Amino acid sequence: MPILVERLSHTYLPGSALAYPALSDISLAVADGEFLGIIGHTGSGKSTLIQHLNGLLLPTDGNVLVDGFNTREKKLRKKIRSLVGMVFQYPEYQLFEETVERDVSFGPKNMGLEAPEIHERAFEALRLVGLPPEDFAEKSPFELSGGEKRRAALAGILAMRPKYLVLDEPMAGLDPRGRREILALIESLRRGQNTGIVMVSHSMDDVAMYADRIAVLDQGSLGMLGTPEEVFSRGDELIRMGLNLPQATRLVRALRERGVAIERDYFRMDELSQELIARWHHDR
Amino acid sequence: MTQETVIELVNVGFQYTGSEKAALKNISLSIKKGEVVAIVGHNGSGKSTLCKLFNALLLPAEGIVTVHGMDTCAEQNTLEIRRRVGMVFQNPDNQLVTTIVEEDVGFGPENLGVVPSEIRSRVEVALREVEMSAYAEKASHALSGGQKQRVAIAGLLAMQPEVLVLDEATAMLDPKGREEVLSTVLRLNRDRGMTVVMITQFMEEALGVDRVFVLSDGRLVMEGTPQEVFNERALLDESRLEAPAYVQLRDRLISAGLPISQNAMTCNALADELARVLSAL
Repeated sequence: MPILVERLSHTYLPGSALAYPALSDISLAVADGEFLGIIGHTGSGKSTLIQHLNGLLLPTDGNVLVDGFNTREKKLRKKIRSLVGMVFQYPEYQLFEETVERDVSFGPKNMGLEAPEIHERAFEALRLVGLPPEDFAEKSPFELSGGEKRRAALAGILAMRPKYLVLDEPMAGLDPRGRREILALIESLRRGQNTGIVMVSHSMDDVAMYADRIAVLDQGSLGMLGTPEEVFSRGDELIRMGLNLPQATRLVRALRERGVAIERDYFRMDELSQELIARWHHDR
Repeated sequence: MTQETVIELVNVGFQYTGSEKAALKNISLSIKKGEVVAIVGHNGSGKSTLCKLFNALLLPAEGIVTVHGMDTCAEQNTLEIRRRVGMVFQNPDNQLVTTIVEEDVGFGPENLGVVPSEIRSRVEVALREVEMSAYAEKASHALSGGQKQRVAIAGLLAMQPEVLVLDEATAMLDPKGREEVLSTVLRLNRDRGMTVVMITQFMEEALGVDRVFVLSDGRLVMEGTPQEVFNERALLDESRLEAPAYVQLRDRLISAGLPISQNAMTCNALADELARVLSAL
């Protein structure tokens, strides 16, 4: 069963002089095991949208259904939050316990699970994120490196075994290697556990590389929804929305400006590279 | 032409209290007046520690740090050093101290005891230089991240510094905000000869600078032009870094036999090369 967003609108401070319509009439679905990328200019409503996916915010109009459960129903909220794991920006700032294991156990403990189950889940989550519990469980979160802290924070969410994982800029502030490690981890969760992924990112390259579909938000509305190919072939519109393009797409456009005809709108560097090499061999 | 040295480190080491590991080991480097340099390195490599030594926010445990010849360890130099070396930090929401943009920009010179009429003119000039004059009387909390960072830069300009140090100042911004901040500091360098030190996790941002310093595990492992540094692929990999995407593509094309220049590192340069190679056939 998917997450269904049906005609969602959200207005902050409704009815007041400061009423601010942040989202209007958004409809989309996140299927099991799907990777949905969300892109949009700052202020386009990305954060407001994802906070609706586990009931942190409720729609002013419309509905959000998680596996059929409506987020408006108060008594379902705990259930919904265990289905939808939410990873905010810089989640490592939220580490607070004395040991990594205790931190990772916080979520399952709140779910009311028994101690052995909590322990098992914490260790499983630490293994998933590549922090072997034998080495890390007893460490203080503050002894970890930046990338390790980020993964420990992610483990805390995974220990709740969410069916969907919603991530807001999960790679921000990480070094190039750390970025790749987190992306590989997210991708392996999807492949291994069929976890549905919703990822907000400013990096068009990362979204182009991993997303099955991309939702483009523009001033609170759903500007586009489609495969990376569909979305990134509408480069001019994206630029008008204040977004940029994947680096491969930018190179394709620069080549066309110089009279080199490239038919496809490439959005992945490796595919463009193959095309250029094939082309050169062919021309020769 | 001998260029004046602005910041110089000689055999500098640093260790945080309570930490078992040295954060910086035996670093020697100098930054010249009017240069734009980038400092790159993995998370925890010591980049931020290093730049906090530049304006006496941290003091070296070993070795010497001087700003225009002034030792940062001598307390009587601290204020003057901090005025000359301005820092912009990562989080746009942590750096603005007042509610109105122009008050924020005037905060620094006011603390320096500059007379009010002079403060006014400095604030005007500074806001103009970061292209934020239209926002002088606006509420600072309502600005975008990129605008906040530009106001933070204006606040430094109002103190008439010689060096701007950006400690991952674009990390929390969207692509447009990043571009705003970058083009602002590069313009200040071009038009006013401002010395700029950028610490960044985005390798593409280091492409347009004069020199790149690479830190790894607290050591300075490489120093050179972007060209030199990004061609050292093995050393970059050891340092947990990678070359910018266009440099990686260029190398893949070259190794496949395409006769394109080693100098092409950006989208436009690569497109020029490819247009030449592909249409000449």
